[in-house]
Amino acid sequence: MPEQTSAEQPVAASAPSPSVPPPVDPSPGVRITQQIREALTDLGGLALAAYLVHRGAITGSHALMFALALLLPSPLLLRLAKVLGARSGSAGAGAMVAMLSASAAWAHFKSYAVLGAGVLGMAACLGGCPMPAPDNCTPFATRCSPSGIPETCSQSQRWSHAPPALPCSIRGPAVCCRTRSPWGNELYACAPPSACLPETTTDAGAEVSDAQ
Amino acid sequence: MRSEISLATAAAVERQLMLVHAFVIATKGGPMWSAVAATFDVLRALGLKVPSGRDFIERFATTILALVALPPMQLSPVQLVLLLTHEATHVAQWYADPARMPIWYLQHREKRASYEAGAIAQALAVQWALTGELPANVEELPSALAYGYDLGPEDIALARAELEQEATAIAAGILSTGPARTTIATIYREQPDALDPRALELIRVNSPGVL
Repeated sequence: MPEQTSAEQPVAASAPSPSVPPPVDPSPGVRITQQIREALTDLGGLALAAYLVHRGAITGSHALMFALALLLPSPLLLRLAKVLGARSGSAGAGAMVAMLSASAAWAHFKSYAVLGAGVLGMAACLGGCPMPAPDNCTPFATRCSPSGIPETCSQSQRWSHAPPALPCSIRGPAVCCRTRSPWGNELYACAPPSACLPETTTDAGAEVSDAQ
Repeated sequence: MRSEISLATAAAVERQLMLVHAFVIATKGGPMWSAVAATFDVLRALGLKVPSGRDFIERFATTILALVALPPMQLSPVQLVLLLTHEATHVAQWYADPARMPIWYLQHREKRASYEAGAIAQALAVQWALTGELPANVEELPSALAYGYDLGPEDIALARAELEQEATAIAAGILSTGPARTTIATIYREQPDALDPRALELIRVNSPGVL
């Protein structure tokens, strides 16, 4: 029977420490990253709650409870941990470690909970964010909107413009009018007043179909 | 004689766009982007007209809310300026309508076509200010949308029509509000001889306050 080598000899376990070691203080970089992550989580959660209230998906009371759940526990746990840590003796230090761990675990959980809620909210919205009702315009006709923004009628018969678009008068000394594009097509667009074409009696400034 | 945009000018444009339009820039790479690329491969396998995962990482810039992720490739100063102007427009679109823009962009093809038309128009305004020229053919305006955006012919036709409206204004020096104004103003401050003199004159007359 082979002899047990010294390497395989069981090693006596060291005796457990009578007191719990103090938690390791993270580096400033880690601390700042944690704080930024926590702040982003809270802001994201609050923005999500505000959006859901705005859409009528949850009530204001629910949003308030959600906000309290987001904002209160971590600071409370941290404060408790500091109070307990200030007390002398191993029991205080042990409780401090437990509180700090709970605080970190809560912050970690919160990040994923807010992310998950955001994904669920987006998924719900993808199923229920309809476009406005059709305007029943002629597809690919153009016009000037009542506020003076050039628009095109989409294939779903809704007036549409390429954002960001502001009224022509805000861009400079321009007006929204029937004019000719650099490629020779007549359309409604922002143009200097001198480049505007006379309105025909039939369209009277309402819309013009693209010839192409 | 016009000069090419220098690296220093492109860097100044980048800084100014980030400052004025409040976004951050990252380079695509790492496990998160690999996961997104894998998702694109799955969507492509399911029949959606989206870029392959590899193309998505290596050829497409992507804007998510206020994060602009650029592909890990070397861009010339002009390419960088045009690309950042395009992506900064998506950031501006999101700030203008933060709740609906991301949903509508993903959910409705015709909305996606309009959002892209707006971003292409802003880059087109910068291109025109640099060269004094627009594409020779109106069909070229939305050519970038033919691949990778899962758009149908009617969506591309809508983008073309909206771009023709915007280009008509651009050709007269009437610039829409948005990142193009920031880019052109920065180039004018850093390297005025990079801009086309005739375009400059039209901008002075019809877009007062830009320069």
